[in-house]
Amino acid sequence: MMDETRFKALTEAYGGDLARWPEAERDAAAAFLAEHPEEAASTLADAAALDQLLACAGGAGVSPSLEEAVLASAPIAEPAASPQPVPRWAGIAAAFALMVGAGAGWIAAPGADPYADLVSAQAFGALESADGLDAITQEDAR
Amino acid sequence: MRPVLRVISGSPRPTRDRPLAGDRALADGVARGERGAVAALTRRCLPVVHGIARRLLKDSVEAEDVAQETFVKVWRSIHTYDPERARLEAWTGKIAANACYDRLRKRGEVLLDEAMPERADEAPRADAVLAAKDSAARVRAAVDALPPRQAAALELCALRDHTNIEAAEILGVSVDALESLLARARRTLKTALAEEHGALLDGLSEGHGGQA
Repeated sequence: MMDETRFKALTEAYGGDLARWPEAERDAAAAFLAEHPEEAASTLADAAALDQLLACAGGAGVSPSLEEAVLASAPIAEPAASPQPVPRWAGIAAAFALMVGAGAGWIAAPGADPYADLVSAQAFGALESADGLDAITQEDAR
Repeated sequence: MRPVLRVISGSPRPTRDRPLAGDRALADGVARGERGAVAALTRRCLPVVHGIARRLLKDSVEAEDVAQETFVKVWRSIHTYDPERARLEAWTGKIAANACYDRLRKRGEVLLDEAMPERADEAPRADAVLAAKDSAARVRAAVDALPPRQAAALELCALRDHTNIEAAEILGVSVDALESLLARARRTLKTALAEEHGALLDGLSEGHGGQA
């Protein structure tokens, strides 16, 4: 059980917020507070006023240049030189992309260059006849 | 419990209950040289390290030197960190405090026994406190004027949210001695800041009267 002397000693050291007190003493302090609300509240309020002043002052700040210097001193591992392993879904994605591309090509085919169609027809037509290849060759020679 | 007492007693601080697994994962990341882990540890621990050094050495330039020196040691020995024994803030803080004590010894400043007064003159530097224009500046001046270990104890327990056990371990003193350092620091501040303290107390009592 906590007595008034110990309660005051803890308040003088740790301030007016029981959450900042040693964990092992908080329950006993809360019990003392419940039993002696008037005197305990007065002691805590006195310390809480100083807590508020300290909170206004805050801790010592850190300059950005110090943080940069500390970070620069750290050994950072270089990224691995070997390529990343291919994920399992990459094959499926590639097949899908191929299908989409082929489909788009098929749909776009009627609007293709008519001159290219003519050249293609001549080439395949020439291959159908025995002397067609010679004819094309002779025409190119001219 | 009356509302005013609930306000005073506050609530438990979650930062003290941070899972140890998080500290272990962060330390492992630093040991592997992961940039993100290094940045996270620096952001978390540099304020504590710098705060301790500034309070113990009373010299901002030297405090920055010690902070850098501390982190070089942290990067080298991160593989020895044991989260079961201390949070990262406490572990790095302890390294910083030891570095400060080494410097103080080299300066020729003898560390006095923890049961004895740290310095003959523990009175606040009244001129600095009175010269500060606003309340926050006056409080900062009063805290800066405290003897080194009192200021460091206050920085850890009142401003940085360390437990009494952690703060005692960091500063290398017993828990009883830490309590004594804190009580002496607060008594000195209360005297130095009597005007502000009185005004705040008046405000608090008016608030209590309104709620009663």
